[in-house]
Amino acid sequence: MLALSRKKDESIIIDSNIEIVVLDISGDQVKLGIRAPKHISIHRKEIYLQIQQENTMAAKVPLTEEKLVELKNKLKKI
Amino acid sequence: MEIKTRNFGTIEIEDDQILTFEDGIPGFEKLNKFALINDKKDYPFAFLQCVSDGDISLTIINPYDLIKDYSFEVDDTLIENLGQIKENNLAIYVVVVIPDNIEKITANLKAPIIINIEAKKGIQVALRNDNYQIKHPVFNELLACLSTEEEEIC
Repeated sequence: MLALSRKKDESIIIDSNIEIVVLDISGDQVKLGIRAPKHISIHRKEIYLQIQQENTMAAKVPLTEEKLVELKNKLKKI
Repeated sequence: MEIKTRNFGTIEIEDDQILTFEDGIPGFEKLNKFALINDKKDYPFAFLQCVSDGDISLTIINPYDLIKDYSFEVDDTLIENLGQIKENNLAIYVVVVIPDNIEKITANLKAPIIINIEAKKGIQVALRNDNYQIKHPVFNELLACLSTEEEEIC
């Protein structure tokens, strides 16, 4: 991994069209500004990981015939 | 074409059911072809069955069947690969997770799947706003949706 030190208001450029600016530093929190072409999707890493995890989970626990029947039975009781 | 699946046994897939996800789906980035299985008997559920790996199938649901005022905005550029989206070629689904205790069912409202059903292309996008959760409990909404449906049948 490349490590660079930057101060507030300094930035880095990736691949000539993505710029990441350090907007603010406060305690252990850094506020970043990102300029990138619009088709580049940018997410907090943990959100992307959670979506990956959720899809993997959804694929692992399929909707079975039994579950669908159970659901419709629950409905009848109400 | 015929594919062997874990959940549905061997099934026949028509070409026009097959959707291309150019970037895959998060968690399955290398898999691009998913068949949309949308049988009335499974309502309100539908499935995205991976064409190249029979073990992988996601249970999905039309979010508007559960939450009438579900709404979101995405940048046009994020979905430009889908082709021109119009009211009559747009389908939206969310992925559901159904644990053993079915009452704990959740839907990922934070990351809807947007499909151009004409162009047969889809993408799952992550919404920037925090109105919706990745694990949004939807059991009550599901019951409400199923009970309206039963009334309609009667």
